[in-house]
Order: sequence, then C-alpha cells, then structure tokens
Amino acid sequence: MSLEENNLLKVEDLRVYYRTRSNPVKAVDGVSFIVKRGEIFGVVGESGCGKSTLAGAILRLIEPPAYINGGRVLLKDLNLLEADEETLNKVRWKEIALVPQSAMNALNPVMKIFDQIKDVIIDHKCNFSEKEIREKSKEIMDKLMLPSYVLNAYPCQLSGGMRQRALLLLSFILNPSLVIADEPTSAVDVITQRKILEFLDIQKREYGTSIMLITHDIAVAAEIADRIMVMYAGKTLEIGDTSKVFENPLHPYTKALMEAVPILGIKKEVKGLSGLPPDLRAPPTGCRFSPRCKCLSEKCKLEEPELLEVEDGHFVSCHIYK
Amino acid sequence: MNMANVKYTLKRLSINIRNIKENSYILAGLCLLISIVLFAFIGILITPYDPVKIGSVPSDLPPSFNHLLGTDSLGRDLFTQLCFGTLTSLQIGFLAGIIGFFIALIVAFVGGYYGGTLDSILTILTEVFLTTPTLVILIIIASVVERVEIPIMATIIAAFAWAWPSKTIRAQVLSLKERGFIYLSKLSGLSGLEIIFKHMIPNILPFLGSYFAVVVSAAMLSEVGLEVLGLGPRHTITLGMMLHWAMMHAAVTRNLIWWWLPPCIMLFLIFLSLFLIQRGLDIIANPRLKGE
Amino acid sequence: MIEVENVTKIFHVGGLLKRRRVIAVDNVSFSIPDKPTTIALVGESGSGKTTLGRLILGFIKPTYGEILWNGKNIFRMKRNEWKLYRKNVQAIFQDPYESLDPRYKVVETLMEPVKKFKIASSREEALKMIRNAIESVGLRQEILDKYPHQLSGGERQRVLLARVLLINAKLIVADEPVSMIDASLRASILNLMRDINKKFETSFLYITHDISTAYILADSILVMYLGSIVESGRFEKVVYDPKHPYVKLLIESIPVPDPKRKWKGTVKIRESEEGLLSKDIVKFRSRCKFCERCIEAKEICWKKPPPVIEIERDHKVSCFLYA
Repeated sequence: MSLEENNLLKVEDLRVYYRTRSNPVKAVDGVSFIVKRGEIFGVVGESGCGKSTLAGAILRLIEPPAYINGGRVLLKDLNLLEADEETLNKVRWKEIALVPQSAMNALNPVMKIFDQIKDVIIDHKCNFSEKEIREKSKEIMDKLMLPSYVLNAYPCQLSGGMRQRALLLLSFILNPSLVIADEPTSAVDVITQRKILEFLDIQKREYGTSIMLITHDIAVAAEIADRIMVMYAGKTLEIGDTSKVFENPLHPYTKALMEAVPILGIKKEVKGLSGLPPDLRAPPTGCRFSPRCKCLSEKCKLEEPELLEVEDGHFVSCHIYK
Repeated sequence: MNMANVKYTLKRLSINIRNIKENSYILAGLCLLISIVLFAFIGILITPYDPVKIGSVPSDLPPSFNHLLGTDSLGRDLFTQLCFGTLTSLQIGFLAGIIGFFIALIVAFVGGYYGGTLDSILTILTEVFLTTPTLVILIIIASVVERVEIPIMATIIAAFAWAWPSKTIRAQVLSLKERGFIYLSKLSGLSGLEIIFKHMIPNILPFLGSYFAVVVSAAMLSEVGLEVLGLGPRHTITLGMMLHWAMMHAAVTRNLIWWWLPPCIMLFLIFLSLFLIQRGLDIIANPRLKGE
Repeated sequence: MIEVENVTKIFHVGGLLKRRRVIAVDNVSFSIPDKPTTIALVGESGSGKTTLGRLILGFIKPTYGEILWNGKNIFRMKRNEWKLYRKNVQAIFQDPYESLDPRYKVVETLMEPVKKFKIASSREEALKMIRNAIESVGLRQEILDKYPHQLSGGERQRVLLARVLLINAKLIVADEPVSMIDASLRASILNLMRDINKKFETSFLYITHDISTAYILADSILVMYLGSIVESGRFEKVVYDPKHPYVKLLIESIPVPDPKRKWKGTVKIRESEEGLLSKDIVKFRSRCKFCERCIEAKEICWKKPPPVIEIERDHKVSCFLYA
C-alpha cells in the first residue's frame, strides 16, 4: 500500500455483527483494506460472506439487529464510524454513494425520477440549473442505455433493470469520489450488464471516481476491477491486483473459485467445492475455510492466519505462506 | 382418491397437534372452551329442573340456593337454561361452522385448483353470497320456516357463512398452486384430487384451522342475532333465546340482572375462546409455514 | 422424439377493463432427437424460454401449433399414453427451496413417483431403487430421513436429480437449475447432469440465460429473443461464429473470468423507446422482433418476420441479413 495521498478509503479491522437470540452472527469479522483514488476495487464473494453487510456498514446504513462491533473506516482523515449524523449526511451522496443490492425498492415511489435527482442535488446545496441537471442526466443515461422517457417516469412505470440503472444515475450525478455498487448488474440482461460495467469504467477514467464493485461473479471483477479482494465467511482471504490474483491465486479458496467457473470457448471442465460455508454464529476455530480446505496443516484448525503481503501488493491470509 | 391420501392428511394433522401444545394462545383458548363445556355439562347433570317447561318453577325469583341464577318470568330455572343453552348454542354454532366450512373448502379448492369457466362461475356465486345482506335474508327465511330446530338453524346460518372463507381459501390455493413441489407432483403423475389432499391441504392446515375458528365465531354471531329477534328454536333453549325472552319481558328495565347478564358473559367467553384459538393458529400459520 | 411445430402461446393479462395480449412464444419450431443429447435453450427474461419449457412439460396448452411425441399430439393423448409421456418427460426447477414439499421426508417424496408409475413391484424393491438413486447422485443415505429444510440448496437439487433417475425419463427439462446456487457449488450439479446424460442416456433441455454454464453441457443451442428462435445449431458453431446480430451482441457481452481477455471496444445496441409492454401484438408479429434495437436493421426487417435460413449444416439463423 503506497503513498497516503493516493488512498481514498481505509478500512481497518471492521467488525459488524447481527444480534440473535443465541450467539451473534459475525457477518464481517475483522476486515481491512484500502481503496485507492481512481480505481475499481472488486469485492468478490459468495452468499453469506459478508460483502453486502460491509457495503452498508461503511456508510453506517445498517439497521438493527446489525451493529458495528469495532474497527475504523477512514475517509481522508475522518473516521466515518465515529462521525455525527450531520457530517455523515454531507458525506453520503456527495463523497460516497451507495447503490444497494435491492435497488428496486430504493427509489421513492411517489416521485418522478427527475424530481428525485433534483432532490439529491438540492440537499447537497449544489447550484445547478434545471437545464444543467437535465444535460448531465442525459449524458449519464446515454451511457447507461436508459431511454429519455425515464426522467419523467415514476419508478413503478419502469422495469426492474431500469430502476437499477436509474439508481446508478442518482448515485453518479453529484460526481462522488467513491461509489459503492452492490451487485449493480444482478437484475439486468447480459448486454445491459456490459453497458453498465463499461459505464463504471468510463466514470473511473474520465472523472477519477473510485468504485467499490461488490459481486459474486468473478468474471465481472475480471473485466473491470483493477484490484480485487476475496471474502469468505466474514473474513478477507486475499487482496491484490486483478491480473496477479487470477494468474497466481494464492488462497486455496480463490483457486477453487477459478476452477469452478467455465470459460466460454476455452475451458469446459469445472470443479466444485464440497461442503458449505460455516454458520457464522459459531465459526470454526482457526482458519474459517479449514473445514473445506484440501491442503491442511495442524495450525489451520487452531490459529487464524493473518493477512500478509506475499508479493508486491498481493496479500493472502493462509498458513501456507509464512 | 383412496384412503391413503386421507391417512396422509391425518398424519400431518397429528404433527400439528404437537405444535399446538407449544402455543399458549391455542392452549388458553382450548382450556377456556373446554371449561365452558364442562361447566355446562356438569350443570346439566346436577340440575333437577327442566329448562323449557313453562311454569315448572315459580317465576321471577332472584338468585338463591335453590335457584342459583333465579328464575325467569315464565317460571323456568335460569341456571338450568344457562347450562342447556350454552351447549345448544355451541352445537348450532359448530354445526353451522362445519357445514359452512366444508362448502367453503369445496368451492375454494375446486374453483382455485381447476380454474377455467368452473372457477368463474364459482367466483360469481361467492361474490353474490358475499354481497347479499345476510341478516335480512336470514330473517326472511327463518320467519318463513315453520319449525325452526337445530339442524335447520345450522343449515340456514351455514348458507351465508361459507362465502368469505371460501374467497380467502381460494386465494391461498391459487398461490399454493404455483409452488414448485405442486408442479413436481403433477409430473409424478398425481391426479388433481391427490395433489389437493396430499400436498395442498397439509401445507395450509394451520390457516384452515384458523379460518374454521373464524367461521364458527361468525356462525355463532349470526345465530345469536337471529335468536335475539326470536327466530330461534322454540323447543330448546339457547343463549340467544334466553336474551330474547329477557328482552320480551323487559328484564333490563326491571333490573333482573341475573337473567340477562349471565348469557351475555357466557357468549363473551365463548367468543373469546374462539378468538384465542384463531389467533394461536394464525401465529403457527405465518412464521412457521415457510419451513423452520 | 419430440417435435415442436409452429407453437405459439398468447397470454391474456390485465383485469376486466384493460386486457392485453402478451405473446410469450411466437411460431416456434424445433425437434428433440431420439439420441440422448443436451440442448441449451438460451434467452433473457421475457424471451419465452420458460414458457416453452412449460409447454413441453404439458403444464400449459399452446394457443396455436402442436407438440408431438413420436408423432402424437400430447394434448390429444389418451390417459395411458399421457401417463407414459409424463413418465418420460421430467423436470428440474430453478428454486430448490420450493421444489420439495416441506411436509414430507425425502424418502416419501421419492416414493411418490415410484408408486404412481409402478416402477417397482414391492416396497422393498422401491426402497432399494431409491437408495441406489441417492448414491448415484453423490448423497449420503441419511438424507432419506431428513426434511427439505434440513438440506442445502445443492443437496435439494441432487434429490431432484435422483428423482428423475428413478423415473428413468428420456428427457429432463432443466429450468435454470443452478442459477440460485453459488458458483463454487454449481460445478458438482452441472457435472452430475453431464454424467447422467452420458451414463443413463437421458436427454436434457437446459434452459438458462447463462451461456457459460451451458457450455459445460450442451451439444446444441437454441437462442430465443422475445418469443422467437433467432439462431440455432451445434453449440460450438453458434457460439464461436454467431450470425444473428443479437446473438453476436450476446456472446460479446459475456464477461470472461480472465483479465488477459478483457472486452475490447464497446457494444452497439439501440434502446427500445416504447417499452415492451405496450407492444401492439399485430404490429409486433409482422416484423423481426429485434429490428427496433438492431443497428444493422434494414427496411425489410420492419415489414416482415424474417425467414429461417440454413447457413451451414447444423446452423440456422432467422435474419434478413442472410436472406
């Protein structure tokens, strides 16, 4: 991790738990990473790994029974986890925007899309004229393949995929430094998905926006992410440049993920993992992946491995690499 | 359709009964209802009086040791009336509830599952019965029928109690029909009736139980309504008829509180017990229905 | 084995006042051969692929056209012929959490088709066959006494595969069987399906929006768009050398899990200005379904539905560019 000025967001040892009648569910349990300026940071993981909880926690948008049990989220010098509501509201939308996974219902159902855009702009005291707003919106809408009638429509008149893209439009309109996109392409068809991912890439190149792209699909991460982080059972297993991680996956889980996906025209043989992710109310002692891991040492079941830098910028949390 | 399917349904029912033990609402409701029945039953056993025979005892007596609730203006013991009346009212209510509920089940499942024109006809029929002013019709029918006895009473009430539950159950059937395992059963070669008994009914048993309690409550309400107006069985006594006689003889103005209050309290307790049972079944139906 | 002949399915949606006709499947024809094979039926949501699957399974009737099994129309069969059809054409659905009745143990669910199709002559034989089927799909015997909620999604799908093995169907319609399962767990289900295809000589109609997973299994492919088949043929031929503009876009837009093979350039497609739901059904049917969004559309594409052209052996496309 290089120069301090190049880092936009620093997450240190973040823990987010869910209260239950028995033990709390340790959804995010000591996750640390950095998002640099002008990069697309992919967070890759399967269901239950904690990536969506992570996304909400950064902007403190999580609701009970979830609660933050420790850690720091530093945006420049500000610890978002300790900031007051007023400061936090200034940060939301303008500095960091969140495109949640269930985007369908995140839009206000009784306002036209254009009015919601105006709302966000007015809320953050930016003086744009209506004409400027329309122009900027149209620019983004073209890239997202949204037809012009969307601006004057109500959310219920739009299809699910359009609503997801409308929310993307809302998130980018104020040109924030960081956009956290949680599965932004889950509800759209493959062609629209490409358009959305290309749009994110253009935003990064033209405006220097950093994007934290959360996805379960490693192919999506491979296409546009500069660096990726692999999550499993609330922990970070591997972080590094996308090309390095794909070329040389260090963690056994990352390797398994690569082996599990086909490549059209090239690789037909796939191998899956056996077993299931652990119950996060009572995670296994030691490495959380150990119950399903093929290469085990005695240490794996006893001691949790630390995140260590194995090669330049490539970190892994596994006892094999010491 | 054969006995095996009915056996399956009953087997699922027994699993549900185990659930019932854990549910305090249902327990409370059942206990209350059973207590009421026991109370009435024991009362009938110990009382020496006749509840209907006019002039069997001196009239207008206040409560005393011989007449725990006093006597009415027609010379009948009120405590005896209360006990007999409770059981008869419950009989009519449950009978009407059962008849009405079964009609509702048949209409809902046949229409909901098979769809098509049959469903359209049944839906229109349901809507007609829903929108007619039931009490008015009931009054007309009851006043025309010459001898109003328990089975006739029950049937008349059932005729108008089935429409609303039928609509709700049909909605359940429609959504149930789209679930994957129903399609899979079709692919396994099961007939419509087999699917209904083996896969649909067991999966909405708590709902059905809950509606049944609702139907019985509604039936009892209609029953009391008719009886208070005097359109009830003349040769047996019910709680509603007690209130009717009480009104006919101005028991309220005459401050004969021991005449009109006990049947009111008893009715209240019956409705309360039915409500508790229904609420308890609702609780089972909602969170647990999607699997533990 | 199965012939789909000019099948059209029109749904009526809306209430009393605003009834609209939605054409889910439009004049589709194809055949599934006797030889065991896996056919991928690919399309996005709204393409009609799920409706086509349900038509073949006999859950809904076509508005026009016929579905033939060994020459006989399946909706005009006598009871015993229909039962035989049912036995031979089975399914696996997308949602493993809904496919098993939560009230019954696994063994009871599996016993149901065995009894109905008279697959075993006694209860002991039935149990033996069930145990074999469970083993064939890689599950432990203990699973038989469990209830669905005690099983994971992947385990449930395997139970469904065991079920079709028991019934010994000739064709399995698999509607998005792995889309609700995590990527690392999909491989075992897909590999199992491929093994069943080879070992038990069962054909699969694999319905999906994900061409990459279809690549693992499929011999041939049918691509649907808004109710019509736009391109079909041997899987490699269609996917390596797509002819239809939509299919070209589709293949180009698939993300590749290899940073060395990133997308180049951009894809060009027009957005539909009308919105699908307001389509006038008559206008809609009398032209190419893709013409509004196609950048290569010619005038004729708006006037007539395109013919089916055989580009090469085992490769057909429905587009005026090749007429």
